[in-house]
Amino acid sequence: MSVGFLVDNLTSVMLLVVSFVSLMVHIYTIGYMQEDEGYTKFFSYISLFTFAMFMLVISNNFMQLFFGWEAVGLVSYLLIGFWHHKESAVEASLKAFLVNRVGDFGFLLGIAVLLMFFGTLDYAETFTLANQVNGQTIFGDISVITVICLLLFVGAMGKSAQVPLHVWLPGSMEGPTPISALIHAATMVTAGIFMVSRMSPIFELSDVALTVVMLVGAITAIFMGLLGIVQNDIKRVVAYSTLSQLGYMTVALGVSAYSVAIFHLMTHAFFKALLFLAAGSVIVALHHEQDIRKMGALRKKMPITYFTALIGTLALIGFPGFAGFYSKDMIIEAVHFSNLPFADWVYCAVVFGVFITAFYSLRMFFIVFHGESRLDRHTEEHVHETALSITVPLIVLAIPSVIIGYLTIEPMLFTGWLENSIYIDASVHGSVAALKEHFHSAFSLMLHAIVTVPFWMMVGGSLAAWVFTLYRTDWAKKIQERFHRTNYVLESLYGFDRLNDIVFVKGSRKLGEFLWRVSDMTIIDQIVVNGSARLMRFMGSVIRPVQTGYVYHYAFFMIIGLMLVLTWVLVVGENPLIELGS
Amino acid sequence: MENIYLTIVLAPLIGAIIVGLAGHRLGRTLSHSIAILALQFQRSWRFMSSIIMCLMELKYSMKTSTPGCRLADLI
Repeated sequence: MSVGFLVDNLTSVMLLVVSFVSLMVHIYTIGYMQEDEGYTKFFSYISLFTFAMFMLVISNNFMQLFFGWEAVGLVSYLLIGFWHHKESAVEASLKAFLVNRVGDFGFLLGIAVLLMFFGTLDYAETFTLANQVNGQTIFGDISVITVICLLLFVGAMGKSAQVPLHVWLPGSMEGPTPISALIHAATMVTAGIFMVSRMSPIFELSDVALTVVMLVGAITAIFMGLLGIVQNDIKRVVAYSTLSQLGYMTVALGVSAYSVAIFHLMTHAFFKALLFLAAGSVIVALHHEQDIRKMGALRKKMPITYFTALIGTLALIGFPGFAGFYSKDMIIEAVHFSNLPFADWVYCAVVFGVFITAFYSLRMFFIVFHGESRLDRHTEEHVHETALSITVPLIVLAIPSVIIGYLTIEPMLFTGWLENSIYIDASVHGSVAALKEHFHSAFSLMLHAIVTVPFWMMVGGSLAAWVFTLYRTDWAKKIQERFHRTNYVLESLYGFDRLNDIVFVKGSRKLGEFLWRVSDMTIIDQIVVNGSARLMRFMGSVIRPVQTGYVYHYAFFMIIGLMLVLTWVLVVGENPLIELGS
Repeated sequence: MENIYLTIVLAPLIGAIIVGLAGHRLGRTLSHSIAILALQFQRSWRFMSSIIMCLMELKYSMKTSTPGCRLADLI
């Protein structure tokens, strides 16, 4: 193995996305962090993050990949806890760090098993040997390839925040908003998606692993989307939508539509970075207020933020013509054509997910920008559009959020542009081939949308959001009271945090306490340290009477000893001293 | 070509080191300028135009059934 670079079309897409979003975030940061004391430190960190992300995507072997993988995790930890005077930020950074280590442990194990069976960490050599290793088993009759894929996917679950390792991402919103846009929406969280796509020659050999990937993705897409409905923190709504969209990408990976996952990764990076930055613009304008219940009617006061947020929202909900429409529609269609077990259920989940996405996205949009103003008087008087360094990145990001899907769907998915990077066994997994067969043009896809179920789901979700937030606001409260148990489950985030707190946090505390009592207090303190002292004292008390200080007592013992030796020689007939000496 | 890749990757690291170590002395404007310039090393006009050309070529190659370009070659 040698350190090197692998620059193919997959790498190029990632480089383009990372560097473009990173640039916008750099510019945005000038305005957003202008009053912060750690201004230069912040720029240093985001540059360091960009370096780490480049290392991750450009690597040609697992060691370099792991280096980049860990480096982005470290910088993410530093940036979530950037405002270290806030206790919540410190806790969130620690949570992110620890949960990511769980995923990384699986990832490292996967690399270790891969090295054990392939004998190399180089991508090219690994992919060449994949078919040879395919028949081998481990732990009885479990396929080695399946084990490797599942372990690598555990790493992807941690980094790309898939259930149940998703808990760190909403908490990471404690960090500055530019970081939420760059790391926790557009780039780092997609590292898992990129990694699985890069490993497609291995994943293609295990239907079990692919099915697990698909199911985890579907669970994340639907259940995290539902959580977005009950959130009132503007950044957390966008964070849960990120989790849901990452679930969509994972579903695409599961049905072997790797290129579609990368396509959604790219479009999502633009519109999600836009939405986060727009949320940041609102937060700055309202003096760091993040509760959407204290916002409203900002449409006229912040027109640039309003229009760019509208574009981002339309792209997210998959409105025909916008970037998100093409990528999400392709994922749904890919699942439709999949022949994996449970693909039908997953299809229903991702289609219903469109309704949920439209509902929570537009709910937030309507509450923030439309309806009645709920700002306090002081804020109401002073609220205005944010500085150019904030609005310019919004405008620039809004452009690809509209056109990038239309422009790139054909080249990226149907011309074999990613064929040199991604391998699909078309004889077994025919989703992408079926997509290609049914695709005519980007324009016709847009026109055709009106007769598809996802489109009407999107319309339904949008109408529901309008009804509950603008038309009949009392209905939302009534439904909340009527379904209070469901509401409780959603507001308690399905109990994941509580479970983690009871099992892992309190469990590890109790384990530590047990080890402290048994190991430290009993074995080390009582037995080893105090025990040896007691033993010495006991031995001393036994031997002390012999040490009288009288010479004739010592002479007496010497004579006794000599007599014992002589007796030995006479009875046994051997000289013990000679034997001892020899 | 290897050198270009190396520069693309290392430029943000160098930017991070300079801004991290000397940020207070350099001041805010110079610090963010260095960070942005380091990031922009690869985003020259040539790079952007190459991507556009590549996408156009792909559309063309699809219609004429000729092999498309590799974006990576154009970086």
